[in-house]
Parts: sequence; C-alpha cells; structure tokens
Amino acid sequence: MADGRDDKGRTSTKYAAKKAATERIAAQRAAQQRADRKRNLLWAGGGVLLVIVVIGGIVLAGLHTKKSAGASDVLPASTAVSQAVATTATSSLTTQPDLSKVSGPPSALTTPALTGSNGLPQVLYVGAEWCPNCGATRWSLAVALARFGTFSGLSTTYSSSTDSDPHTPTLSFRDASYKSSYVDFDGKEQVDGNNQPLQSLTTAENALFEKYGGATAGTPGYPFIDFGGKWRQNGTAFDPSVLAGLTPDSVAAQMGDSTSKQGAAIQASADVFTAEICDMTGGKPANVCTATGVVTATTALASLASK
Amino acid sequence: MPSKMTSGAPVWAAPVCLVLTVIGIGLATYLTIAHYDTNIPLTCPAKGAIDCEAVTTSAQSKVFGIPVALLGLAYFVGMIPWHLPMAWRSADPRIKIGRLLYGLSGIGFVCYLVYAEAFIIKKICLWCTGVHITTLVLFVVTVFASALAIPHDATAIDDDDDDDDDDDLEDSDD
Repeated sequence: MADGRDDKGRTSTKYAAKKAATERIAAQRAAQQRADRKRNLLWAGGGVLLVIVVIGGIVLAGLHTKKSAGASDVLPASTAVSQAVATTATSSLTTQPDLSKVSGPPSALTTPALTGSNGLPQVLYVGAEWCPNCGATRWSLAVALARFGTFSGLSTTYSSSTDSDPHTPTLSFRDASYKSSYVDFDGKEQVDGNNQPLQSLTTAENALFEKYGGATAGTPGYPFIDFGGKWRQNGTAFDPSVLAGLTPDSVAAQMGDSTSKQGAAIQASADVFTAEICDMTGGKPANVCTATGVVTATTALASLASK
Repeated sequence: MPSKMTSGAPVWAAPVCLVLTVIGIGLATYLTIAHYDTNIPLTCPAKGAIDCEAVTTSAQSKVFGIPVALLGLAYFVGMIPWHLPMAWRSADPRIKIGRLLYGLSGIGFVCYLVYAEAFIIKKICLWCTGVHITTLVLFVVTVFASALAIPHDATAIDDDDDDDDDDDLEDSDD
C-alpha cells in the first residue's frame, strides 16, 4: 500500500506540471476560440440583420405603396396577354355564349355615328383606370374588336385596390393602337388609377358622353361605349368579381376556355359587343357576323337591350 | 494518436436544420401538388391582400417555365445533404461555405418572390410566406451554427470540456 502511495505521489507530481501546462495551453486555445466565436457571431448577426432588413424593407415598401395610392402600375401587356386576346377573338366564334353572364344593359341609340380619321364608323370607349367595371369590360371589348382588326400597344394594370371589386386585373387602352378595315376605335382612359386626368375627349366625344354617359351627381358614368351611334353600353359588361384574385396573365390563360367562369363571361359579352359592331358594319366581315356565337348574341340583343 | 479535425459545430445544428428542412419540404410539396392538381385547392382565405390563388396562378409563379413551388421543393430536398450530422461534423471548409452559399441563394430567391408579391402581384400567399419564413429561419440557424463552429482537433486537449481533460489525466493515473 505504501509503495502504491509513493507511486501515486510521484505520478501526481509528474502530471501536475503537465496538467498546469495543458491547462495553460487549453486556456489559450479557449480564449482564442472565444475570440473567434465572438468575431464570427458579430459577422453572422450583421449578415442576418442585413437579410432581415432587406426582406422587411421590401414588404414595408410594398404595403406603403398599396396604402398610399391604391393604384397599380400600367405595364405593356405581355405577349401571352396580347396573343390571348387575338386567339380568343377567333377561337370563341363558334362557341355558344352563356348570355346569363352578360351585364349591361346595352341600349339602342339613334345618333349620328362618330367617325375616325379614316372615315369608318367609330367605337368610342370612355373609362378610368381605377374603375373596376371598366376593368371587366375592357377584356370583352378588346376580344370583340380583335375580330374586326388588330391591336397593338395594349397595357395591363389593375383597378383601384380601395374601390369595390378591388384590384381587378385588366387592360388599359391608354397607349393602344387599333387597325381595322371595318371600324375605327377610340379608347379613352379619362383618368388614371389615381383619378388624375389622363386622356381628353374631343368636343364631339364629350358631347356624346355628357348626353349618354349616365353620369350621376357629377360622377362620370364609367365605362361608356358608343357603338357608332347605334348601341351604347353603360356600366360593366359582366360581374368584375369573376376576375378577383387573378393577374392579367392568369385572365389571359383562362379567357379562351369557355368552361372557366372568366372565359364564359368574357366570351359571352364579347359576342354581344361583336353583334353591336356587326350592326355598325352592315354585317361585315361575314365570317365574324354569321358565326354561331355572334348570331346568338344578335338574336338576343333585342331582349338584352330591353332588360 | 492521429489528429481528427472536427467542425466544432454545435450538436443542435444538424437536428434543428433537418427539422426545418423537412418543414420546408412539406410546405413546398403541398404547393407543388396544388399547382399541378387543380382539384386540390389551397386552404387559404382570399381576403384583402391575402390571396394564395392569385399568387400561385400569377405569371411570377413560374421561372423559366418551371413552377416556383417545384423549385422550392427541389431547393429543400437539395438542402438535406448539407444538414446531415456527418456534414455538420466535417471540418472541410468547402462544406461550410457551400452550405452558407446554398442558403444564401434561397434567401435571394425569397427576396425576389417577396418583391413579386408586394409590387407585382400585390397579393400575399400564406403558404408561400410559410416557405419564405422557413427558408429565412433555416438560413439564420445555419449562419449562427456556422459562426459557432470553430474547427479543432478532436484528439487534442480541449479546454471547452474540462471534464475530458480530467478524464485523460485520470486515465493516465490508472
């Protein structure tokens, strides 16, 4: 036992020095590691803070933009939207329209037709970019007009986010050009999404809009469409709520599908508008004005007008 | 005794990150299925600025023709190897940097998607926000766990664990 204690004592002495040395080294290493960790954590904290500030900034800026204006950017229509308007114009001609989707009512007019610089009878559209009813109506009007000619320069935007049917995805005619051998088209967006003046009406257009625009108590009646002095549209072409939550591109993706609620509404009201334009053009072109959907709309036009 | 370098990463790093990755996979899988199968609606209120369908059917829901939901799923699946315990134990700096860069790429994409929701679509998708938050939390955890990871020789005496030192001495005593 005594030898064991002596051995233990020698071992303890021998390792006491080693332990002291290792503790010194360990302490130095620990201090170095603590310093490294502290430095790394500062960098990490800074990096994470930067990321959170960037993401938070984007969110706050987006929320602020929406609250302050209620208006959306007006952007050139994507290729998909422009193509969908042109494609739907032709592909839907043979589809039987579900006229129960059509709002209005269209009314018959007997006033002289406005004419464009080319002498063709004019379709006049008057609307506002904030207006949700205009938002729905533009889709159908664009499809109908695309059956008689071609659009370029269409834009896309949304109606006001603070009005009824907020943020309805839509087209804008503000920069649009239209070429046709049958009709002229003048699409006037009187005010933008912030209700600021955008495009002026001519004296003749203003007189027509004043008389038939359906303004009430100083509030302009948007949208208003004059079909060559033969028909007029006051108010929406269909219920804008069917477009709720969609983007212009997703509307474009649906508009050619008559089994979708968006496609059914857009196509049916486009058929009614087409029938009204056919009345202006004397039934030209025949392939459009005698198409299944247009004939159905023409037949129903009288009853729709009397609703 | 041969040296054995370890990353020095905290032991909670791998399990916490893997749990977050699995949550991300779950959310992204749901969004991917809902994208491809229109019969499966996204359980999401459409009120005010919140509208999942508007976001998931928007033009921004695809990048180069690939659904964003599918990209998110691929991102989280690709995240798994980076967060395996073996990867967290490795002292190879390429793994540490690769893991951070992979996470950073996800954050960059989240910034774009949040921008698209806030400025282009002007709608917010709650499920997508869940994925964004998961990505952000996973990145934050990865960054801090990496910051705490100081590579060291596991066979060397480490003052971080004094008990081990004592054990070594006691072993020697024996």
